[in-house]
Amino acid sequence: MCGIIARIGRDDGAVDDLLAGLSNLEYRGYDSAGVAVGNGTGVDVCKRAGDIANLRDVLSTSPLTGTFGVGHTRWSTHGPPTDANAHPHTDCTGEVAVVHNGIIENYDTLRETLREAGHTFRSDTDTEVIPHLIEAALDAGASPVEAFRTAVDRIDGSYAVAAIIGEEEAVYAARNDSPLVVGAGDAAFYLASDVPAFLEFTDRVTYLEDGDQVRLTSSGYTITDRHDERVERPVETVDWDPQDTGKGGYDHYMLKEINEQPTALRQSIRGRINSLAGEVSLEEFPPGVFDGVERVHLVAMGTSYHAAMYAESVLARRGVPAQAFMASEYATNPPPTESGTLLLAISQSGETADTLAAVRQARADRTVAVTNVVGSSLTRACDDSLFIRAGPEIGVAATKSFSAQVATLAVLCERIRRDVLGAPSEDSQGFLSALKELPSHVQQVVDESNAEAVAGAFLDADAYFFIGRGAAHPVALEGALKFKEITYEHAEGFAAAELKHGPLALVTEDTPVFAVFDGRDGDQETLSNVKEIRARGAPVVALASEEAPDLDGIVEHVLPLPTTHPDLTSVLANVQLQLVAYHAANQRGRAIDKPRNLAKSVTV
Amino acid sequence: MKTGSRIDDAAARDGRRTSEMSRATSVAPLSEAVVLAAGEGSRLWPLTHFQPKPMIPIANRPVIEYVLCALADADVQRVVVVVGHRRTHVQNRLGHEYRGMELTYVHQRAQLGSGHALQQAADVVGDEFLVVNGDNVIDGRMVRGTVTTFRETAAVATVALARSETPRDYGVVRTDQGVITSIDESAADPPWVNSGVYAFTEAIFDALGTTDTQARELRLPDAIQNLSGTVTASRPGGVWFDPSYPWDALGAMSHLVSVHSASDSRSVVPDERVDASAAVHDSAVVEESSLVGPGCEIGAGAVVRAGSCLRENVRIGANATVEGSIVGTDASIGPNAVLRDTILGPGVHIGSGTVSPGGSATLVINGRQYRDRQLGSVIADYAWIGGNVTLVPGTRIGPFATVEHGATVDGDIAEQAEVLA
Repeated sequence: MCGIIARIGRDDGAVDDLLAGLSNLEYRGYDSAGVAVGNGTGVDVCKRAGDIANLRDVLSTSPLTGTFGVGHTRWSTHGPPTDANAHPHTDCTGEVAVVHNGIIENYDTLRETLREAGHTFRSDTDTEVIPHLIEAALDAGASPVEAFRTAVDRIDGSYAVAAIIGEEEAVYAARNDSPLVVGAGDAAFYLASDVPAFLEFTDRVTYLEDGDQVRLTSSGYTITDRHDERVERPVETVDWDPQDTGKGGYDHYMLKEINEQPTALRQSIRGRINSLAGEVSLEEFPPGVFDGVERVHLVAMGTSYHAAMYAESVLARRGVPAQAFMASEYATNPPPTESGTLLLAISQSGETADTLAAVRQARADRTVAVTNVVGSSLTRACDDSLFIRAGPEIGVAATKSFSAQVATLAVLCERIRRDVLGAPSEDSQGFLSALKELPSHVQQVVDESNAEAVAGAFLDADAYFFIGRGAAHPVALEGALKFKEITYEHAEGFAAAELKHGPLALVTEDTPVFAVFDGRDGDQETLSNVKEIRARGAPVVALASEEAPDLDGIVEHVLPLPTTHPDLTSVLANVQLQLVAYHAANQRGRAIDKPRNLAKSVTV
Repeated sequence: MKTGSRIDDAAARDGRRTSEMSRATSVAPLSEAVVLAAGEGSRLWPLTHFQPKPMIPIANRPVIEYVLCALADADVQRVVVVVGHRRTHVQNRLGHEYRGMELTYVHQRAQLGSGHALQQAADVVGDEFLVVNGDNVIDGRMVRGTVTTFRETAAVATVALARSETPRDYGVVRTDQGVITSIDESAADPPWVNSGVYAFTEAIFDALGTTDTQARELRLPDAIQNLSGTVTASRPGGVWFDPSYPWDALGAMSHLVSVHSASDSRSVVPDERVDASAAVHDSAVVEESSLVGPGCEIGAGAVVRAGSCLRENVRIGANATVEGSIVGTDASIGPNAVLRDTILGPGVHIGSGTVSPGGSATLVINGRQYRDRQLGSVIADYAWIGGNVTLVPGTRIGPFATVEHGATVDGDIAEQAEVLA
């Protein structure tokens, strides 16, 4: 749910800065948006259901001015997307405005108590209890700073919350299990759920920790911890280039990010492998660091779960017992965990609630976060972190982060294998060399892809199926996920052999099947599966390099792949499938960067 | 380099004086610029199959970045980049901001000339603006000098002139007391040519509307001669260099990494000659006036000699020698290979023991013969060259071509062709 932005400065540019921040945060959720601003005389609120353009329209006809304020873009958890349910929420007097990301678990009881005390609620949201709690504390004689702390102390759950209170020129905020970061600009101070929100104004950031509260004024900010003790948190300079957050001539962030994959991959592997010397050098994990590891558990959700499955297959092939779990299942039904277990937690944003929950439940000897975001909650929850260095990803459909996760995990898997078995894997040199060539191979796919024509050939199909075995199995699942999330068409991925154990009943001449060949012996079996599909009349699109069996006269189309190490063929197939999904969605006129019902970081 | 246009150091020194004077008079800058980056650049075939000419790397930076630096040095705020051929490569590299300038893109869908390219930007520029070719190396003096003349002469347009040793390639500009009287694309003298740096008022769009196409192309120089009002000439004397031919690109590279690095290193070459993330074996040698980009690997005993530029993620195998060459991103050179005066595009593979010895080459490009050029070979994107191959000077190999082990190759090899031993 949701993105938060706040800003305070001496000039009255609050509305402009808040709207810019909300646009940058739209990927976190977008069913309604709003701002509240203050200028020393009171609080004005403007909020609307729909995307930020609606809010902009209202503000252009009835503008607000102020030096400070809070803003919010919402993704519904409590109550439908309506003007009333949009944030900011206010108290009975309209002088306390609050934005919130997360879930307040005890809101039912708090609301009843407040109602009994005479407070009137106007929305269905859990958030609205906060301004009323602040109002109640103010009525009882508390100062704004005391009132904010009193209110936050009474709520249970996960939250990042920001508030402005009456005539006081200050912004109050608190964090617990939901991300919140302070930005220090030259002319103003900012607060947001995520750095890209204010990256165009400043790159100097301070990450808050759970239990922290912060008070921002136009001249600075003070942070207090959960015991109300004043604390200093380090100021970091983020090296994300603000240009990364614009579309740079592309129609969609997704297509831009697909095209950025060669660059992202070079960054991912830079300095981490020396393919000539056959060396793996992960600064964070020197040789021997994984001595004593007997098995690896991987936890993740969505696209990151497919990266986890990929790593599972790479590790297994290298003789290291490994198992990938849906993080949500791992959290609620944890498997037996013996000593010698290493847990890898994978999340692009590092804020995925299910993955955080799994890490908190885990009884592994050591936990490692594999993420794109420095300072994210997952990096705090785990013992160590390994960054995938993909650069910011804005499109809701993950593309470059998957490729960067896979490349980073491939290097990590080789490190683990060497420590666990005391020697490099058999074809380690060839694998590292192929990893080094991966950016070039991905560039070839992007430069030469015929995916647009292939997508256009199947616009009227009933459903779309994707099959693969080994490392190509997670890519079949990922290809289907990408396809369904942005085209809204029915798409499913299967292990190739699973088809005839049930799903084959769905295969007709109107259900194209995408089959991934990875250049291993198993390709012969996949070819048999393809023939079974052809016998039912379904068109087949093969993803294959020159190493694959002869497909002439058997398949309808081929999406060609450069020849590489078989563990990496499926990564190239995935790029073709990203392009198929993109073009299929574009040909249907879908909102590619903002698919319905979905948000970028699933923090609830 | 025997002929071909060169960076003219004397002119550059003159330019420095001119620009100092122009700064003293401090005219109002032009805040908007249009960069023309849609063209393919057929004379650099086969390198331009996947990369538009503005993306050809000189001293490890695409040509268009020199143009953007020059615009930033002249206080330009907003740049419209006209993209076409292989536009994603330009967009990926530049993004939407460059040295504080806002970049936006317009798409020229068919290559119908420089005038047609500018017309694509008609709706997004104001009433006066700069226009610069995206495929020439220039410096800030070229732009500042143009703006100064444009302001001081209150002209409807100003064209920056540069000296060229091959004026026939560019269009000779004749002037009378600073006013342009003709742009003649067939003449061979005087040596002052159209440098592709212009300042315009919006009147240029009216002129473009009344200009006839030639060979299906609407050309900007033709429209300039159709302008009603005075068109003035500027001779800013800054760096101007057109890497039109492969030997020009190599010449520009060695010039920029050696001569200019001392005085102007900030805008010309990266701060670190060998990037911190590159892995250079202890026994390998990287000579001083060479550049090694991020993530490169250089094996035992390999030698990277003077004036070589390795872009990003390049591998040089043990005991290989690379001299005076441009090696593209992700390229891989096998052990014991020898490359001199050679250009490798992105993702090229060179097998072990393959030799491109360089020397005197004779080539035919677009129907014209060029004798005795110092050139090894030119190998385009993703070409795969086997081991112990001999590449005769002047060989050009198209993208995705493959050359079998032990072959000797001469002349032009088409895209995706297979050469057997």
